[in-house]
Amino acid sequence: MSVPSNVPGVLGNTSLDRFDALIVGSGAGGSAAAHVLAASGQKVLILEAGDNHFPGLDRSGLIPELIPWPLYSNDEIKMARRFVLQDPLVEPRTFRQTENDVARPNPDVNNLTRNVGGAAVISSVSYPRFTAVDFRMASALRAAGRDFPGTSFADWPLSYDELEPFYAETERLSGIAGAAEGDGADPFQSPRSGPFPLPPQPEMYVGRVLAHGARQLGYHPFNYPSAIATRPYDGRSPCVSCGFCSYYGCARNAKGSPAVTTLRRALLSGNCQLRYNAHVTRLLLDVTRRRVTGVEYVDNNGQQRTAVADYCILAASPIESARLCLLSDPDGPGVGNSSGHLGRHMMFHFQTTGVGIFKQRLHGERGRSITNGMADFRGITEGGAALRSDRPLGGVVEFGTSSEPITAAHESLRPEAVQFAHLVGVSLKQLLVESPFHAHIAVMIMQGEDAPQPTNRVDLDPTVRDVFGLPVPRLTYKNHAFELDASAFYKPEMLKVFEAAGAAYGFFDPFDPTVPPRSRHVLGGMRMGDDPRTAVCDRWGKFHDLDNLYCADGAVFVTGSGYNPTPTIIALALRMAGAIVSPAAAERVVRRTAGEIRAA
Amino acid sequence: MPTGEFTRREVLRLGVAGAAVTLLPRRSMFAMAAEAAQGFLTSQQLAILEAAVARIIPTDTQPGARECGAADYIQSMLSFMPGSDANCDRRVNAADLTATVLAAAQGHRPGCPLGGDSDGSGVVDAADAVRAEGAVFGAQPVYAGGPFSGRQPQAHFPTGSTPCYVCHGAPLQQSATATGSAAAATVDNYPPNFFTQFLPLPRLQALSWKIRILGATAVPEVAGNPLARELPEADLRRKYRDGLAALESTSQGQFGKSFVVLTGAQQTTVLNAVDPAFMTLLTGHTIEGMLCAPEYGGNRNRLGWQLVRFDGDSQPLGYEIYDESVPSHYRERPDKPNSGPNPDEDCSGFSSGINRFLTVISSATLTQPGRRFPNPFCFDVPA
Repeated sequence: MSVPSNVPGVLGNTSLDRFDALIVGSGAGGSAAAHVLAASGQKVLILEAGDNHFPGLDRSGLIPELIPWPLYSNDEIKMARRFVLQDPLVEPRTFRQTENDVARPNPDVNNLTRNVGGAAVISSVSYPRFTAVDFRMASALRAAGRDFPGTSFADWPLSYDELEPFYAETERLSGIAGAAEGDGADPFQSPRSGPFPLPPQPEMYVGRVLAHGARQLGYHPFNYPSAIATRPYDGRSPCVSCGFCSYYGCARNAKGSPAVTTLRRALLSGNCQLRYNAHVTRLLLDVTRRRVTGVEYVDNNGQQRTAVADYCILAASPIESARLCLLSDPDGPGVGNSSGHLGRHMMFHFQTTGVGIFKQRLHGERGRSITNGMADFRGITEGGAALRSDRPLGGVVEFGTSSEPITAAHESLRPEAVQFAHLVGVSLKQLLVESPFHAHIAVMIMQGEDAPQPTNRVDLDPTVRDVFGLPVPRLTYKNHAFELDASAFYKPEMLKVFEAAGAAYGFFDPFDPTVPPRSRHVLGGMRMGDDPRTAVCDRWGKFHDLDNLYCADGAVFVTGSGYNPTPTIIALALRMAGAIVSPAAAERVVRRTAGEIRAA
Repeated sequence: MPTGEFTRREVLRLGVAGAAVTLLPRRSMFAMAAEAAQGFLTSQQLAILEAAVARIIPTDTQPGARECGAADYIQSMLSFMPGSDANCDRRVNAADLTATVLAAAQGHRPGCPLGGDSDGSGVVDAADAVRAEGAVFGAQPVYAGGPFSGRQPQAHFPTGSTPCYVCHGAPLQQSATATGSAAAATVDNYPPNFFTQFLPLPRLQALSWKIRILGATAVPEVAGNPLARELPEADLRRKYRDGLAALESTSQGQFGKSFVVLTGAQQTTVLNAVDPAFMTLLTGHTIEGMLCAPEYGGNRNRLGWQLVRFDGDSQPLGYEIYDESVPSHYRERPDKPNSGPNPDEDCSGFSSGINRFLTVISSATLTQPGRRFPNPFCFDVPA
């Protein structure tokens, strides 16, 4: 056994050459599944399209219990240059609003990260759970007599209560800081079996100011549950509020991204090998077309290679997972698509971004990205069991900002801003020096639920090709009145919060339907359900059409909720992997493989 | 990397550029060396660039883009190629082709993956120069390393173990200004600068940066991707060569003088007359060059950060010191608090110009107009 690896491009046990499981993607879902499977003795191969910026992730640190430092840093240029983002120069995507339009190549179609650990590595790791009503949204809307023509709401084939133990394990593995009860807790959250494993995060000035405004209006702001260590936790260093949070990889492993939590556990188990810069291009099927035998991938030298395993788990993020199924069946409807629903019902949270400008410097460049939030605009009752009749379904509102100066200056350079500056005779230098968008800004983002629609879909673009010569994903997406009306309903309320908080100005990022959804919460495309005619995956995440193909990313989501999705992706992947090991005892398997948390 | 023909052509071009320098009259060997080290843009082009960025963010009572070294940043960016910076001076030029041979005599620069015995034969010889030509397309300063720059100290020391920057749980050490024996401990409290150790690029990123610097035609693999030709960040060398030439020719055409010697008002006229796409590109890069981490070649003496009152990278210190001796386990920095207003917050708000600007923005969005609120106040939140 050779852990750690000394082979370039490989982490984990390099001597493994026969695999039970092959996982495409090392993000939230793939890493969670890898952890449970490897801890259960399965031999796991993970193929990751991106590079690795966690050198030594498969070995113990300078001080044995500490994870070695990553290559992430407080560096705006590195991130502005797409250090880890999917790069449209080599991997473009195309976008259109409806099937009647011609899709155009677009650099902003949900460009998630390409790196070991997946998109959560550079997210704010805001990790709330979904609520009970989220899992039966179709029934709840029907019971309330609310009908939205053109939408495809459905109930999930599992309940919140069934998922709760897996949420608890997700929170323990990821080291989530939050308040389960009392002042800092979200009253709209559904019942929990226990407290968060870590105490709540220190609040930043911006968060406190907006929470103060919200409280004055009778709302219920809470300390945002985040997978950011507030104590030494499982080899991770506690956060020191460096300020470079959302959009940056953590420089000290305080963020409990999949890389330093579930993936690291899998790599240290001796049962897992990860090959990075390995871009999967095709699933290989046997003659029955019911079994995946392996995959083809292109390695970092541009060589085409093959990997085989007994079963395969797709966890490449919804757009790429759907694309892989379509690429692997060029003459047919796509692998796993007898239902015709593969790639459909795509969802992105509909973000309503309110901007408050304050007279004083709020220095949002200190602190984490989001320390406070409120769910009063989600439109559900306390405890999250039912819909409120007096307001639409919006989403959780995040209080905070990332206001590093280059990012802020680029805001000032948007064409409309330049036009206004000319109009009133303000120079770019004045904008830089007085920094209204940098030091004085407070942001509220509502993560509104967007309705699932069969017409919102991913398929293959007929003309545009990526650097491998393969057809690229084409996104067809148009917002429904469901989320647009909710956004319009809550906007005046958001302005009131800004006013009560003491802002001098409040306005909104304008919504432009001709550009792709800005949210990086990408969900749907392989929704789960018991009926193979309407669902791609079953209630465990296995493809109805195949005997040994699974999906462990956000593609299996039936509806999108109005809370951040990552912990739900992880909980579902843990549960799926447990069911692979022992179909009747998923929960027991996950409990057995849990392992210790090493709190230094 | 499939660079065969391109490699030779590019090397040839660099060689021709070097030769052109030698043909310039009345230049000493020293001047030649300095010229060669300039990077992609010639000194004439660089002078126009300097003048242009200085007009975009002018110098007044406070420094502008010129003092912040924004042009150096752009020069540095245009000069790198995958693997080109063999001598690690953040400039790519003919000097890199001989750098590997010279490096042995000069000592190995830390952070430079190339240099000296580049083919691993144990001897530094002409073969290394050949290898260096190939390496001109291998690893380069595109992405700074991590996690720390060494500009901020580590607040915590492990008790009784080797000083390190991975630990937590011990009291705050004295600042860097401490003297005597305390200073010795404090020096170790600053981690080394990892930012200078630029990261190697995997294959796809190397291809992508080739498109950025040389254009889509240099990478046949992306023939099926229109974005490789259309995006503003592609083909930067050509765009700068053409853009700077347009500034100069417009200037000569309208005023009969070089852009460099025009008055500020005349320069503004010229900037407004050239391709707006180039001006957008240049303005964005000017901002980056003023506010980047200094390792990227701009933000000279951190003047850009001072201008916008930004502290830059704050790791590993941060703004909430982890301290187990206090009940919350976190202690704020009194000079730079995380949870409340700055101690010197004057709450003076904005100039009338910025207020006008924000008023226009607030009322401009047609569908959902924002508001200017009647009673903006300035306060700390009640506990």
